[in-house]
Amino acid sequence: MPSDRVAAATLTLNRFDVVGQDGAESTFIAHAGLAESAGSQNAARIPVLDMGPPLHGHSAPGHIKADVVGSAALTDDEANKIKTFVDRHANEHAAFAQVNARQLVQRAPEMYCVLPHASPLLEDDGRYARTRFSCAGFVVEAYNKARIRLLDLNGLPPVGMSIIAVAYPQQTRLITNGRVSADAFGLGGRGPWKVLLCGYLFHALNRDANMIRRESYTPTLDNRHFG
Amino acid sequence: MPQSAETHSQSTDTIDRAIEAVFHRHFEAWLAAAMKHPGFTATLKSLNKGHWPASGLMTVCEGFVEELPSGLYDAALQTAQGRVVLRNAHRTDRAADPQLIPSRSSSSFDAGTGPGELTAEQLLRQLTNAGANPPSSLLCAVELTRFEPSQHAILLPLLWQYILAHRNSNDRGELVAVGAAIRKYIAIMPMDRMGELAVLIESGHRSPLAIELEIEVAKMIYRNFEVHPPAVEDPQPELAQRLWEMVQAYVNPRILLRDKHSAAASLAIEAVASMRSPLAVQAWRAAAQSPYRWFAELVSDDLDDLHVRWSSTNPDAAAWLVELRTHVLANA
Repeated sequence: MPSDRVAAATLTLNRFDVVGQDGAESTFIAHAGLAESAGSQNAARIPVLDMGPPLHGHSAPGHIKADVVGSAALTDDEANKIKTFVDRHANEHAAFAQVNARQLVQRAPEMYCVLPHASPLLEDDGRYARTRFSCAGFVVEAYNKARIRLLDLNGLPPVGMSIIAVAYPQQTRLITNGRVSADAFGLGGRGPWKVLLCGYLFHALNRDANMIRRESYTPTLDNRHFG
Repeated sequence: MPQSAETHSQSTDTIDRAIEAVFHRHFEAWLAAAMKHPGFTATLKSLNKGHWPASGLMTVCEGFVEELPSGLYDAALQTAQGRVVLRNAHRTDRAADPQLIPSRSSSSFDAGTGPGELTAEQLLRQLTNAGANPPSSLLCAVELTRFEPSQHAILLPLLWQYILAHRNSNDRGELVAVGAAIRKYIAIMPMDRMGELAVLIESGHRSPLAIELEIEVAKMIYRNFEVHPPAVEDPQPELAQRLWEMVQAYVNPRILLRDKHSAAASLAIEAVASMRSPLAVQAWRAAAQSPYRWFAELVSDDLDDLHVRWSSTNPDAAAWLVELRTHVLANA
């Protein structure tokens, strides 16, 4: 199976396989990243390149618990494209390691976005110095760079704030507490919103390798869960 | 003669007080000596040489705390139970967890004194006052802040000065800050002064620019011209030449897969093309003729994206890109 629930204490991964971690709800995937390296690894602490936030690149991978894993059986060429994508963006986010926890909270909208899944932070004239991602958005864009369009991004199901709150608990709390506006995360208006959720990635990857490359997956709302 | 219980207790109290007094004097002397060492690390090392008696109390007698650029803390505390040294300690989760931060309270976390809440004008003043060595966190805060166009004239020279002064640093944190300064500088600099960036990536400088910074320079040049396509061909020939040198250095198949060379090479090629430079033919051809097919595809896909972007903003530039592709593919 290209995607699977992780039951064992160790698992064998390919480089840039997609690793997911459950959120507060059972089987609701709330975070995802790219396996930093291949080989047998401790499922409780997988080194990943992910949009933490901040984005963890090759020089400082993050770590997540692997509850689910998806693989497209990447070729070396595809993996090299993904590596190049990560190397291009990682420095933009390394700056966040320079600020303290409080500033990280205050700067959340400058480093992270919910909708759209990837978005440049614009200056007044449209120029930009950094690209923000959601955690699922980072994975989607990395695979896009390898010409693997995992998801039909125009066909995402609309979701309400109660689901977004499970997928993005920290961001939602910032909104609830009035510290950041919903608009700042792209959640303007009354909703529902076509938000990219991590669970969709694993349903997209849970197909034949040729199908993954040939056809983008159109997720359903239930696909926020896997397993 | 045996002591009564009361006398014994008084004696014990007297001894405890005497020990505490001596102990306190010694700690103060040790602390004073330690603080004379240059740098906090030396202070901690000095304190580590001390051995302190245990006591039944947990009162903090002396100590100091320093916030590190990473946002973590080093601390050395003398408690009545002994010496406590913390390295890279996290502040209480209250600061990191938005759920625990009250939205309207008078707690210190809401006091509004952190750099994250400074206005653009305040940041500009801090950067001006910081002189030659502003803290890295200040540069990072500046990058994330939107400044009024009227403030750019003050900000740009400060950023440029910082970039030139610190680009050879061996300190990882400073290089991250230089990267932030480079991105901000290029994102707000006048487009007609882009040629000045050539000095950052010229070869023969006393020490080579870190590849992470070369990546930032090439990426930002590309992004600037992606948003503002050159109205005429080859607006900055010297800058294009320096980028072409980068391409030649990193596109070599023997090193392309190493480190971050593929990111540097591909961005340099795309930056040359985004400048509508005559060197774009050679640069793109270097990718097209690479033995690594994935690298040629990567560059081709990105320049397709550039064509889409330019088609809506500058049809002439988009047409030039089509001609370039035809020329490169015909001769690849």
